[in-house]
Amino acid sequence: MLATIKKLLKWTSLPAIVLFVLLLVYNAVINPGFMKQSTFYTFLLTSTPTLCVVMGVFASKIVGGIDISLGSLLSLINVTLAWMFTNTDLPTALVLAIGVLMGMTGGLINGISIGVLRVNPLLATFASSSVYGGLALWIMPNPGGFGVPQSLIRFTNRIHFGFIPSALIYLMIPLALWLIYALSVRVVAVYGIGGNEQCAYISGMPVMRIKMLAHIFGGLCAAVGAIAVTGLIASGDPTIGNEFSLKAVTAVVIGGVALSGGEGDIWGALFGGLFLTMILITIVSSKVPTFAQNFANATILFVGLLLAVLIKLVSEYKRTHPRKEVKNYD
Amino acid sequence: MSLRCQSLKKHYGSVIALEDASISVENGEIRALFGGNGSGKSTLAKAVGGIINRNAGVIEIDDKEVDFASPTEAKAGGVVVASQELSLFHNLSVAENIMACSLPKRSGFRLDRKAMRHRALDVLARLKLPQIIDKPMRDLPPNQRYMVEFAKTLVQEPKILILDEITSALYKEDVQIIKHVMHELKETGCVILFISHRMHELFDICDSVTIMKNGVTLATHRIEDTTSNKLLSQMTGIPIEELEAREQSAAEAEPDDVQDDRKALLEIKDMELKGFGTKISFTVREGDFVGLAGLQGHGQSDLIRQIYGLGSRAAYKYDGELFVATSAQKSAKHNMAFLSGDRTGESIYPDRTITENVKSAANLIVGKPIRSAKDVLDRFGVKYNGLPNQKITSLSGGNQQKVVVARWIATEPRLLLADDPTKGIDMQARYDLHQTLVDLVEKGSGVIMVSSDDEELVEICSMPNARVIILCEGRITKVLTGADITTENIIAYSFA
Amino acid sequence: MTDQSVQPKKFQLRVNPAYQRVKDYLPAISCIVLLGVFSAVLIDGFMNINNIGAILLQASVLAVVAMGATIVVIAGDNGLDLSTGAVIIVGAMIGPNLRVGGRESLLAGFLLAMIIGAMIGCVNGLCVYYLKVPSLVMTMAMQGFVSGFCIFLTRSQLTVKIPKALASMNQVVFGPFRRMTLLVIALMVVLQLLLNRSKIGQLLLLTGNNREAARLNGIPVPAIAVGAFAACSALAAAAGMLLVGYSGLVHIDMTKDYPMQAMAAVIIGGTKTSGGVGSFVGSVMGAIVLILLNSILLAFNMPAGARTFIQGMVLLVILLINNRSAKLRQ
Repeated sequence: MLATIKKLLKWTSLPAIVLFVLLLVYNAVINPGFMKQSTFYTFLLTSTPTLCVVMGVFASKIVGGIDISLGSLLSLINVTLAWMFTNTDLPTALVLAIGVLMGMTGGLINGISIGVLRVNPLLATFASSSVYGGLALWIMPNPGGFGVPQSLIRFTNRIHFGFIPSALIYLMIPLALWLIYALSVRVVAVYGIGGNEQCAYISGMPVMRIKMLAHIFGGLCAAVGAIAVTGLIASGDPTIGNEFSLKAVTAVVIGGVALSGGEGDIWGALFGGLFLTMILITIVSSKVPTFAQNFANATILFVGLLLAVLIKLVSEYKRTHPRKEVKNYD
Repeated sequence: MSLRCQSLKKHYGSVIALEDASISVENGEIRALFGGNGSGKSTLAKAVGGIINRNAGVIEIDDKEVDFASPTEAKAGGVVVASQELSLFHNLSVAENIMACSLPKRSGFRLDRKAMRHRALDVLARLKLPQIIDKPMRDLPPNQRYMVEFAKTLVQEPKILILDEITSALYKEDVQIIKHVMHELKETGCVILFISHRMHELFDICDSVTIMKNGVTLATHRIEDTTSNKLLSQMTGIPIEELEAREQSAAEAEPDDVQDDRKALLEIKDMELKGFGTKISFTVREGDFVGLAGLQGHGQSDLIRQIYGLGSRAAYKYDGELFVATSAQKSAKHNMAFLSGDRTGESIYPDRTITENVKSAANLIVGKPIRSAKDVLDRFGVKYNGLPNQKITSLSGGNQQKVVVARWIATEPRLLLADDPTKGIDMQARYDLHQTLVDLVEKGSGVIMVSSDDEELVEICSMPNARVIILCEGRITKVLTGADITTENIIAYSFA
Repeated sequence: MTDQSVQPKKFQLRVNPAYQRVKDYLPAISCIVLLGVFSAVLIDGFMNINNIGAILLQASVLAVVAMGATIVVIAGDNGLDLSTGAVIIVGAMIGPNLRVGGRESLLAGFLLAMIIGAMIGCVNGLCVYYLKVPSLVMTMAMQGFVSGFCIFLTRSQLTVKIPKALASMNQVVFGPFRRMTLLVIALMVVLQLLLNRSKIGQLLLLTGNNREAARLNGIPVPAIAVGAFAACSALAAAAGMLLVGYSGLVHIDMTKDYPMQAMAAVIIGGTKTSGGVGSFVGSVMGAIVLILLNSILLAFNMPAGARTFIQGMVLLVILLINNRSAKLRQ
């Protein structure tokens, strides 16, 4: 029993979950209406695009890199979908498929720059972020594209069987893909590459291929998030994803994923994301005046980040300075 | 299974690692490779294991010539290497590490975690360590990490197993376990190459031993036909009677009968050597040259780094006063200098110019600015094309090291700590560096130099006031002075 | 063996120090030249003194931020600072209105702004170096925190009375050079001289190029690493004051793009993102390239999105040429 508790305390995702639960409880207390299904599910739905980007960033970080272009990629796919819905007669399924393809292509471009051409991941995705974001603004300079089909809008907002929101369905797509992949033999290679790329190479792991796959997956996450957001705002907004990228990186760090890669799991990232998206709601419910909201948001984020980092540092310290043992070489 | 190597040659630039190595190992034979620093035993192991390419020579397995281009190919051919540089991932579990090269699948693509754990547990049980299966890699003490590395090799079902110095961190019980497993493998016909500096292990475990020196395989004996003194004698040339008469006692760093009124520069008393848990004491006086010898990785480098203040605090008497070394900055400001053998990682600023590299200590930190970089560079014989304001990477390795040496000597240090500074540089550059160190010592400074090249130490220690301290597993085993400083003696005291 | 008479010339060119010095500026210089020629030929009336002056003026503010970013990047460890957007606002708020002894004092304003900026930078530096928070995440969190604070203080209304001295920054001195432009050029020269010829500049370059060697050398690496962030933010605060002079009013959203654009300028200018090599001249040229490119695209009536897109592509191309790491060795 004690051993399980000890193991739980060492779980890298724990700080993120705790932070999220704290906020959740606080919200439930000061606003009893929050725990009502409709309110909570709305929160989940509005968080879905961010959480999709979080999952994409997670994948890129696990293999030892980073991807800050996914938010812009999401915006790009969103405006493209909205545009296609409004200005063409293509069937909904086809449009969505194009969106998914766009996402994977965007991810592939990142994957090639980083995995094959070995450009620094931060810089490569910094550049591609401008490319995708710029394209989004070019296609649709102002929010528009109101021809989003009712079917998509209704689906996105629907609650199936009385308790399964579509938000969950959207989130499940990348999550399920990741979880299934994590069941395969390759998962050892993924974490190995993040842990020590040289060692992984020597051990015969397919470094380049896995890195590219991580970024393609990220693009797919952006696509799913874009579909969700299109259904949510029933239009296209070229700047909608701008905040998501860097927020997602923070969420992943809070979620306990090591900067260098190879450590952490997707749950930490997800709960880190939920913690971040919940902050604003908490602030609004606490009746913090509008002009102070940004500040409160940033402060809580800051505190959460520092807490997560400190916890990590403490556990590192404990590990490298264990209690003295008597050494007997003879 | 049989392994045959014929006339293997390998050189790294101008450094010859293997000159002429030939061995022949039969089915089920456990062969020890025995030799000192620079003997080529590790190089031979790496060549057979596909980790490095060789320049000449033939390797035959089961009478068929093989040429492995990578460790992966070697593994496919049944050759598995476990070496001191562990290939373990700190962020993966014990089971994942052990099975990393042979992950079991279930229904096509699924990682069979159960089977993985099961097989890992099996092999760990074989090694009497089933309890570590669920421990995080990071929490494992060094001996268990080496056992995990060994487990990893077992799981790959090698036909030729090469163990390069993996017993150094192991306790006696662990070594016995490994011995037992090795004998089990022997029964299946597996050929095993075993490298260790602990002679009693060779006699306990192996069937035969090949002596290597300077990249050449000297001779091979059946283990029952020889003794440790016979081996040492053959390798060093010292007559057996002399070896048998020696006492190997833990030595003080000063011969008792020396009357010395030179000022004490560095007095270390019972300082705990981090990582080894052993206590070290010795004194360096003005004008002393101290060589730190012994097999690589036995605390020599750790010792001087600790003195310099890298890593943990070190308290000792420096120039007669209590000094606590806390950082390189403090030590440098107190006229210490640290010369590293790791050029690219620790010494040079690759994108900066030669001038900047040479001025970096004297001008910026120590406050004894160099006015003319050109003069300093010429004084040290640095050969460069054109002007010194080009990138340092335009120089050859030996010249780069000269720049680094010039950097530190220009600060006129009281105490120079050198960590294998001549690694990988050519003979002429080495000679020049030796001269520099001799000059420094003659001016009254002290030098402590770690070197893995015994011949180098013998050469440079031919000056008065020079001695060689030999470390083995973090302990001083012997202090050699005067005529006793010979490569044979150094080797003799390097082994446990 | 190759012909001896042909070999030495080629060898000499590569070793020639003058060529070495210029080599890093080649991307920026060629961009400026290309863009200049392109615009002169294809756009009527683009290359007139007034227009060039306006471009240089606009680039001045970005140049100051870019020079700050340069310091952080040179300091090594893949450092970057995304909080400069918010620090600009701080500078804009504090500096211009400072009264000393009853009189408006521009100098005191600059000093105070820079000191406060430096303090913010110190926090960034300390957290990045000692707490090991990745600089991307830390400075991003700081950006949110500081900008939130500014919004909180000013209730989003940032009205600034521009002191006469600042307003006069727009005045033409001669040719295309306005007062502010000359001031920034002077700053560039001072910083470049400090970098090349002073002790502190040398310490910065060495620390950035090889932190391990610097540590062994006795260089106070922590002080330099933290100080770099402090200097960067100090410059950002100064840029805030200049921004007030340039545009007359400062709105929170105006500075959002500065950190990224500053990084782009640094990269285009030839500073290595791994640290230890770089120049202020290069970053200023990079800033000019960006603003020039922007203006040209504006002259072609390209929408904002297209401009961002093209900037991203340019950056990507430069990265592919300049910034690739070594292959995994066999």
